[in-house]
Amino acid sequence: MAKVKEIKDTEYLYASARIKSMEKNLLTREKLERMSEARTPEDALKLLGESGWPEVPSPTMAAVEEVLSSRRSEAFALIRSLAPDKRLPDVFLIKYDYHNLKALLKGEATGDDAGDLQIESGRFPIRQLRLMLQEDSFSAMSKQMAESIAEARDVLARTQDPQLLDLILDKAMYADMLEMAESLNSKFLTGYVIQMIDSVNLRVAVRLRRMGKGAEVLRYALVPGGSVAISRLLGDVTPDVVEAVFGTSPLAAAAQTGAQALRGEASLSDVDMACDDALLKYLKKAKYVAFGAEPLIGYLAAVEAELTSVRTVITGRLAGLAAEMITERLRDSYV
Amino acid sequence: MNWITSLFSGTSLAMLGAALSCLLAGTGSARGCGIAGEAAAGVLTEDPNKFGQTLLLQALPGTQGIYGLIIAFLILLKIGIIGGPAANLDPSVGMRFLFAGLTMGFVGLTSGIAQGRASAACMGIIAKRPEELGKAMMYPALVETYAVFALLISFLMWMGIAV
Repeated sequence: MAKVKEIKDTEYLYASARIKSMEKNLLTREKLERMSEARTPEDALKLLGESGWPEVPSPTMAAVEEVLSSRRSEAFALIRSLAPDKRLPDVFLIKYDYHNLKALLKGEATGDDAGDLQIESGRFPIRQLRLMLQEDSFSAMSKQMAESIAEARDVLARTQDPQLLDLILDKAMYADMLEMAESLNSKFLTGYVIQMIDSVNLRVAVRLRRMGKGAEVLRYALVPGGSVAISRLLGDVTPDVVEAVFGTSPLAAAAQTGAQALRGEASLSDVDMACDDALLKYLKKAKYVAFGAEPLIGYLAAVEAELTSVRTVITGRLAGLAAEMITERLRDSYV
Repeated sequence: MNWITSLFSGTSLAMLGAALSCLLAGTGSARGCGIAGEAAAGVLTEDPNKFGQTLLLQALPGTQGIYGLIIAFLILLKIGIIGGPAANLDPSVGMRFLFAGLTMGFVGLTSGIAQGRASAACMGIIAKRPEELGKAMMYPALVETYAVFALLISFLMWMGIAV
């Protein structure tokens, strides 16, 4: 993609001020905790309504998902209308395309449509994606995406291993995101994607090591493009190596948790949590930028995190989990 | 060579000083108010009740233009363009007026834009904590100091020029 000319921060004046006004409508952790502690799931949803959310017609997950999905579309449409470069939200939408691709490709292999696994939020509508796969017309896609489809189909035909397909598409997804962020000329966004790649690598290294997998699988699963060279993780991944490799990156704290996980002192979900916290810490820097692309990017990430939190709380409530168990799983919030 | 002599005549140089004072400082204020205004519109879209607070912040970068106008006016008064009769100035005297106008003009331009950016940033405070308007105004107001300094020096220069 061609580099666009740098956008001045003064072109974001209206957008940043408007987004900052909207940030105070995001759900705080306190509110989410109150939802977890509400007497019934209906009460929890009522609390949501008090915060300016649309009413959820019935306390079912399907109804909640519908509201979540409309909230997401609204936020993305808003940012798209505000940003001087309309591609800004695309970095966040790429993952839905790949998610849908995975479902479609797996469906291709098993003959199952897997329609309920797809998320209609990506850059390509699912119908178009399906059509492109059927007709092998990849001209609208990025190079990475088209290549990963060919590779995934090939590997899937040979090995029947859907996990490999996930790995291939994930790699292409991060390459796509990185390229998109770089073409948007935003250091903040590029830094965000790079840290995302680093945290994926940290998680993968720890997880595969715990499973006893060797360098062979690791080489396949690690994602290039992060700030940490993946060659440093291809040897024996000991706790000390993890701490040393990520020690100087913003993921230092997460790396410590990773090392603990390798020693059996922490769980894998602790590592995920630590990585998410580090990523949030990075995003929170956007709150101190008066105007520019940063507040818009931070807001998008915050909306996505908010949707995840609401989903966590409501699923927990519907499953009858205790309030402490739900709040334990909540991530910190952006505001 | 007649046009060169008329270009560098005392009156022309003094008028250039007046023009630059008004033009540069006015540009600074226009840009500053524009920057702050865009941010104000963003806040107001979400919360129309904040009109008063945002207007105050937007007005702050407007003063440079007024200072520029004052200096330009004073210069025009002294050289008799306003209220005549027009004095026949020596080029060296005209040059002094030019310097007096330039001081206000240049500082007005840069401080106006800088103040506009500070005001726009402080719109973020109004967006989240409207009760902190007093503090939010302090930051852009500090930029004003330097415009006032320039006004003072331009004025002292103007006082000292004998026609």
